[in-house]
Amino acid sequence: MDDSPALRVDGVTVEFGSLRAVDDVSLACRAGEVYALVGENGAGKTTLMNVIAGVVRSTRGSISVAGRPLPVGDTRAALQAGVGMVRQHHTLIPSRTVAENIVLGHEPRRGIFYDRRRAAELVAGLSSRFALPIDPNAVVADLPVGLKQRVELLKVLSWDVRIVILDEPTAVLPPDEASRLLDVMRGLAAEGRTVLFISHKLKEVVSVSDRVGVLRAGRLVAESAIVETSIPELASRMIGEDAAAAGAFLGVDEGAAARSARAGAGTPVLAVEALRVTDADGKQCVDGVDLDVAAGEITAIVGVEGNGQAEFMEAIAGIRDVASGRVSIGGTDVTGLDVEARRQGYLAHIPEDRLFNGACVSLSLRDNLILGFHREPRFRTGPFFRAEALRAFARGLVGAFDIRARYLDQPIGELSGGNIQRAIVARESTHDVPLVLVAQPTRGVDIRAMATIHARLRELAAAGRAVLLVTSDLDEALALSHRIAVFFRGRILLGGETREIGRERIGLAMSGALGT
Amino acid sequence: MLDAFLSWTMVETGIRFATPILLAALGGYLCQRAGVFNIGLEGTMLSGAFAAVAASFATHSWALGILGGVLGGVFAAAIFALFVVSLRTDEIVTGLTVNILAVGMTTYLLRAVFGVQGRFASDQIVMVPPLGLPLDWIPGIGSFLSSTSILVYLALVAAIVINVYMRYLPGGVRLQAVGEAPAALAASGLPIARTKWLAILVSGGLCGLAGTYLTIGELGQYVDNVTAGRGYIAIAAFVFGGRGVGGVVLAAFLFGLVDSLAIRTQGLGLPSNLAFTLPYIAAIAAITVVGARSRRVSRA
Ligand SMILES: Nc1ncnc2c1ncn2[C@@H]1O[C@H](COP(=O)(O)OP(=O)(O)O)[C@@H](O)[C@H]1O
Ligand SMILES: [Mg+2]
Repeated sequence: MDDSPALRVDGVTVEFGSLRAVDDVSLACRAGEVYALVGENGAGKTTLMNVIAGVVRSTRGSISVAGRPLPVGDTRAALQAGVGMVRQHHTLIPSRTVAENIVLGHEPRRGIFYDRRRAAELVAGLSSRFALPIDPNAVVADLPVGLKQRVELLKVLSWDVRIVILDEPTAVLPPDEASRLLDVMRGLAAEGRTVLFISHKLKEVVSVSDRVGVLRAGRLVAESAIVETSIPELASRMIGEDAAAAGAFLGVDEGAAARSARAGAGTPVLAVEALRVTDADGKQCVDGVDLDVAAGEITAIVGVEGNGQAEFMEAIAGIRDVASGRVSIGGTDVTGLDVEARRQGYLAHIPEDRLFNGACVSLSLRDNLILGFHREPRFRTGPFFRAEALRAFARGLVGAFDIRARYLDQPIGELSGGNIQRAIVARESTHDVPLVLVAQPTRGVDIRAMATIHARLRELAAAGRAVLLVTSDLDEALALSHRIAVFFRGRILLGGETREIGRERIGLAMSGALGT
Repeated sequence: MLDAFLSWTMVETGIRFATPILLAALGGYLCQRAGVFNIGLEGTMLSGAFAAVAASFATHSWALGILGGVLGGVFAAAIFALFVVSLRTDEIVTGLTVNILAVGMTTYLLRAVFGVQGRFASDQIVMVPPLGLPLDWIPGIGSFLSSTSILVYLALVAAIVINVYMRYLPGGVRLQAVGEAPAALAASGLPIARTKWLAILVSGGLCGLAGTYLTIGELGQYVDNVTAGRGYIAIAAFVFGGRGVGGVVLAAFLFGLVDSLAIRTQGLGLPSNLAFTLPYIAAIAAITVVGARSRRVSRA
């Protein structure tokens, strides 16, 4: 037996033009180990993993697997050498079946023909061997996010890889699926594989991994056994500040204090009555929902994705047509108003898909910040913009929300996810409206951006706005909200005061296991 | 009058008109699966048409004429692929450029090589013979089937082969993935650019066959701009045809029928200009239908 590590990364540097995304990183992992990699958005985690999986060419440095060097930038060679990666963004063919997706690139054949029966058998075999149940003949487009992720993992495992890399696999998963995935990861390690895992959720990292490495601005700034570190220490390493400062970013549970200050139940700002929404296929995706949100209150909607939460929010925002029911804001029936009319004085919206609906990626940061304010007289002289006033306004938001851009006119699409989200939150929360709709505000953003965004949402409520939040992160819902509503199959299966509802009951309701 | 419309001759003319449309549409279909909208079918076809005549004239062989036509199409397609895939230029602009370039090149070469303008006819151009299947006994269409060009059957074979490839070979799923989810190919370490190149070159060969059919399959001579917009109708055919090869075949046949209807109406004394616009009207109608359909889907 040779004693070379299962994976060795040696002096890897990746440069994109003048940007050094990964800076001289060396690390080694054993077989049977779960190694977590943490760091802020843009720290270079994905890039480093891409180098290991042969997706990106390194500028310098080398990778070796069980002592054998890997060719640079060759995904197929990496797969054949036993290195596979579940990427941050899906890599599935939506119109094809689960089996076709999993065997893509090494399809079983009979003669020259595709042997679909054997493909389905192979997939069924993999699925039972790794305890990841899936229907091989289902079409991928019809699967919920959690199952798509499962297909991605099976696809990697179908190459019989020894090194399994997962890039933020739990970011889109509801809690029960996330914890199930963590179990699968432990199982893979127990079989002698090496699991490399990226996550922003430090609790997860601490619960599943053996060792953890911290990347900051491309450098591996710390590495330790998980038993020798702690969440506050990891956080402080990630952001490069001392533990006390980092603690402020971790205030996930200070919600409890803020909640006691909940405003008295006056007339609701948002009143939704018997709302029904039908999707394009004619399915009732929102099936008779009543919901009130009072001034000064954050109401969180939680649920497994695809249970009507997204459609419910879009219907309130005016993006989606309502089949029946009523939406009132501040006592006015807005059901018949279009998006633009609703945004004039009624509501602001921080949408789920920040790149597609929240920002115009080719416009500058400045232009994105002033969208919606651009008609106001203070920014106009006749038909012309008052450039100085606009810049001053945008600069004010950039300062207040700590948006990191190189310059004000930088296209917003070039910023990191966390900074784009800060910009959208900055803009939307500045509108003087009674209701703020917020969907998945911190998905995929790092702890520092998350802290800014959470603080802002609390401020909004404290200032007397009504906030309606949809999130698949139960911790976030528990930390922020005064009230919680659990969506299941288009209805509210469980609702009430956050401090009275237990986490367990929420979990049960999310899976539909709770009777009403 | 009804008789005239529904006669076998009309079906026969329909098939003949549909053949080049089908060949080019199959090429466009393959490109579209690979995520490339090839608007250069027209010019690619014209390039093949010219090369086929030149090769047949020079070698006195119809087989080499077909080969020449295929290579002429592949040549134009290679230019398109070089720019669109390797140099990442805009596919619409590049496709239109191929179309314009093909008109210019063939007009120029006609003069430079054959010393004529407008058209080139010669008894040295060898036509593609009929396949000569013993099908005379079939009532109505039998004599047409036994006397029609090899290229008509070749178009049918191409459609069947592509259908089998797309449905029953791993390459079909991979080709689909290039257009629909290139990240999926990349994740399995499969080549994206090379697959696109291949699809475009094959489409060039098919367009070359389409051009070959028009010249040494039907006319027996070369006429300036002999394709006369059939490449655009082919675009309508594959767009209209949808996801399956069967749909493309059906759409091509329908456009061929409309074309032959145009000829019929000419016989009925309608203005011939009106008749010639029929295929284009059909094409616009097709694209409108598809556009409306896709808008509904994307709004959902
Ligand atoms: N293909 C690319 N071209 C240019 N810059 C890139 C590319 N990929 C990533 N980057 C940059 O490299 C840095 C690290 O990105 P990434 O590895 O995705 O970070 P993380 O996964 O830690 O959030 C970021 O500044 C990002 O903008
Ligand atoms: Mg990343």
